[in-house]
Amino acid sequence: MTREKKYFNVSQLLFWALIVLLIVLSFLKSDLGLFNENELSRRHAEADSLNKIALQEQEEQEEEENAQDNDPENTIKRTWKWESFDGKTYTLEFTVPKKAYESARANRLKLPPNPNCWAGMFRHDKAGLKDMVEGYRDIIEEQKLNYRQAMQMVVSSAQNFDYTYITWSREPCRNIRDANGEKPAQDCRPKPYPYGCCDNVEPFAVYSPLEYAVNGAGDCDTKSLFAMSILKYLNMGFDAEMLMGEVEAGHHAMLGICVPNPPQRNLSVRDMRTGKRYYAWECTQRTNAAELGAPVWQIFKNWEVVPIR
Amino acid sequence: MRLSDQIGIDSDIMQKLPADVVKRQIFIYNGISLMLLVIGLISAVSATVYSLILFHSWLIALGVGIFIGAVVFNLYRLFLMTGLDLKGSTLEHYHIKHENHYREHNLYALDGKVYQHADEVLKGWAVTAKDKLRSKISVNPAAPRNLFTIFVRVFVMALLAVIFANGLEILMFSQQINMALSDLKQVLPPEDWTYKYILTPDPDEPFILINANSLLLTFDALASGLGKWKLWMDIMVLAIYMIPLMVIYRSMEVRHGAYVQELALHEINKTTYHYLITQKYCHVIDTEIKAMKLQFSKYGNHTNNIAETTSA
Repeated sequence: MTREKKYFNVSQLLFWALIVLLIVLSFLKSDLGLFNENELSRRHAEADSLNKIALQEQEEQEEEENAQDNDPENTIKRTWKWESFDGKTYTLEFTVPKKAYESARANRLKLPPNPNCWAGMFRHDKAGLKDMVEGYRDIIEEQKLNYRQAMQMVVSSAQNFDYTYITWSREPCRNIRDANGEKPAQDCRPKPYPYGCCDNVEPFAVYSPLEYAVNGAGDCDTKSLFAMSILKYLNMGFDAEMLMGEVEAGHHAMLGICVPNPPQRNLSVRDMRTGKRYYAWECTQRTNAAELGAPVWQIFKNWEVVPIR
Repeated sequence: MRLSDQIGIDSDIMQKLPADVVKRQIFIYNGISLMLLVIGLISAVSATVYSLILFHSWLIALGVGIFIGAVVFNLYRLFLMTGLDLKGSTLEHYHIKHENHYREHNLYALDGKVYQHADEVLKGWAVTAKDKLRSKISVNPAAPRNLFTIFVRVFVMALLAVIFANGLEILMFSQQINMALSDLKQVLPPEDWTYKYILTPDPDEPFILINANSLLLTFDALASGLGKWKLWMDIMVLAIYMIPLMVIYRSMEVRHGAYVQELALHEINKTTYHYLITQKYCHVIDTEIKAMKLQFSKYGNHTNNIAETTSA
């Protein structure tokens, strides 16, 4: 084929290839997860404070609906016991409706495979975690914990369970190796080293806060999302967000807290939307960022605040 | 009827070319015609989607869609056919100024003699001159083009492409957009203006395709839902709209192809023939007028008409 002929033939081929691609995309759009249905309402709620109130009302309505289901056969009961940074041991008994647990799982599977899914889980799980949040609130009130102590108590509860690898279909447990080259245990439960590993947690290798409350299995983003969600659900003025970025171990997520007079050693990220500075709190290890600072990572780059509304 | 006829290609003018060249040229213009029909169809579908959101009526939407699709098809056809010029071809010299052709092929020497010959003979002279001109054709592929006209065409088509890309994406992701709008409706209080007037259908006019009365909100849902993918999808549709223009301007088979050259020769031939015919009948009419013995005096002193002259 001469060069002259090639131009038209290639152009024609490209044209029809693009048409076919458009048709294929219109059929596979759901499977490819190109569209994030939650983004519009999230942005809207973020932009309009009146809508935030409406969002809260809707969540409260869901809460009431779930609360009606108090039958012991339809609930999951859990007891958490842990030691906070003040040296005290706390015990929290709570129940989660089975329906809410199943709904949390179903909701997770519908979310996009990117950090936007965190907001979807946060919004969905509030009703199901009502009893647990009440339990935290009772502890704070009974123990007369101040702002920092309350924050430490919540985060230490999230840190209490042993680390568990949470993976998705793109990176199964069999491919995971830790820093020592060790494989994780084929057990999706929190356990001492070698840590457990949960396979095929779609869509983004993260469990929702409610699932973490029930199972206790979680890695960086699951634990951070749980701690952040509880701090926000408590509605006691804690300013927490999710942080994501890179450390020497690769991509990582941490809890971000905005506190006055933070320890100087703390790593922090500025939220360009609000101008606030959020201090990173590692939730996979027992670290006390709110008081002592927690520079557990030497490399800290490309970090950003992921606002959760 | 060939597909290429749809964009105004007259394949009869390529009679004197080798069969394989004609076949290839027709294949190319058939391909371009099909691309333009698809682009017209995409525009029609997209315009239908927009109209459905605005008017909630299939009848109006289809009418608007067909009209807009036809307008875009014809606009693109106009852009393509007027883009077929002779820049870089030796024919440009004769096509722009036909006197060059008459001079080089000694047609001026026939002035005053053509009346002696039949029209068919004149037609034969014009065709002979055309065939001589064909043998002189050469092209300079690096000849510069008028960038302004190219820019205007590309800009207008790109603008249309981006507009219609949105309509196409709304159709492709209509279900997802409706889910996003449904989520939005849940977080809005019922007394909210958007809730009442944008997301709630009029009892007499139920929603069709998209559950909203607002194009802007639909765009917002589409853009926020697709995120960075929206840009890639827009680029895909843009590429679809740009490819026929690229072919016209960049493909040597089209830009300096046999059809363009033959079309120019055909036009030169027609003009030459009419030039000769004009010369012939100018002479004939001139002779007749002179035989009339007309007197151009002031009206009132002398009656000046043909009937009177002949009766005298």
